[in-house]
Amino acid sequence: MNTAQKQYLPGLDLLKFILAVLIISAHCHFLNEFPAIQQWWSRLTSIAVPLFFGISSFLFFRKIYSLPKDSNTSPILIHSIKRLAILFICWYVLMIPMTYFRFYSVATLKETIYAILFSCCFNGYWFIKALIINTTILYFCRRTKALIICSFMAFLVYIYCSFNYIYHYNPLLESLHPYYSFYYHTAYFCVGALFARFHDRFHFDKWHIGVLFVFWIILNIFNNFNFFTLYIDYPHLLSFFPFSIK
Amino acid sequence: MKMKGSNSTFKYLRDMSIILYMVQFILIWLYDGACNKWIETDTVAYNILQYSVTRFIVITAVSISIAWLILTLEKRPRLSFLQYLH
Repeated sequence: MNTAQKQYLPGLDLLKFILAVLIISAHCHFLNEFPAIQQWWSRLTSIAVPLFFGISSFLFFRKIYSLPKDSNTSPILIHSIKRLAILFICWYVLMIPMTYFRFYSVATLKETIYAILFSCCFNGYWFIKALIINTTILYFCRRTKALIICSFMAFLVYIYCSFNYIYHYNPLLESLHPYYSFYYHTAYFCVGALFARFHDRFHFDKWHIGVLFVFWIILNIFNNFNFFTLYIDYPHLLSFFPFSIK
Repeated sequence: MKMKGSNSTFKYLRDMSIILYMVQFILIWLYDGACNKWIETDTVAYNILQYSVTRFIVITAVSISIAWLILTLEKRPRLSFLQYLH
């Protein structure tokens, strides 16, 4: 194990805790009674899931890229997938009562198969499924050229899925929505993997972060006035920040 | 990123964030079920439970308490399950 593997980043763990609280606030529809503030708050909370994906991908590929080129990296993938699978099975069992009433009792066979394989039957565990699928896909695209091509394609898919984005509150439609499918989030995994690969080359200083932050605020103002039909969560630009601060 | 405080504190927060993420869905489901079915919302005193701020505070507090309980039990050798996640 070399220095890069041993180096522990406590800031990312603290960030994960803050993001978990932000996710709770999003799921509780926090500040729903105050629509003006809620709109801004939801912009902030929408960053939580992409950042989680980005951080997971960054930490995973940091381990992979810290090893010599000819070394066997498959144990890292197996360990990671095994850990996620345990979490997924536990969660699946815990969620059975809710899943049945909200999904299985109303879904068709086709919808059930799609949800089990790619999407979700209940809010929440799509997240672990997306982690497992995207980590595996990007592991096989870990070579620099393949990673760049994969990132470009993932970004195109993300843009395509973002056109005329409508958030459904119907539990069944929600379960089949692209947002709850792994491919919508592959782009964020790519961001994490690219940062792990080129971390030394594309290091931002405090000035760059300041400029990005101002850019984020301007985009938010545009987004809140509904100038575009293309919906992209602009605060996701913040996904770059935690990887860029030393 | 240089942070003040011991690494074990941050690792504790990491474990807590996993539990928070999992537990919140069950708690929100139970809370909404309780508010819609079991609690008589005609009673003015209970209306406060319908506010999103109350909902957030209650669910966060209960989630953190459950996470603390699980992590405390985790220290006992016979009950340590989270070790499989590391």
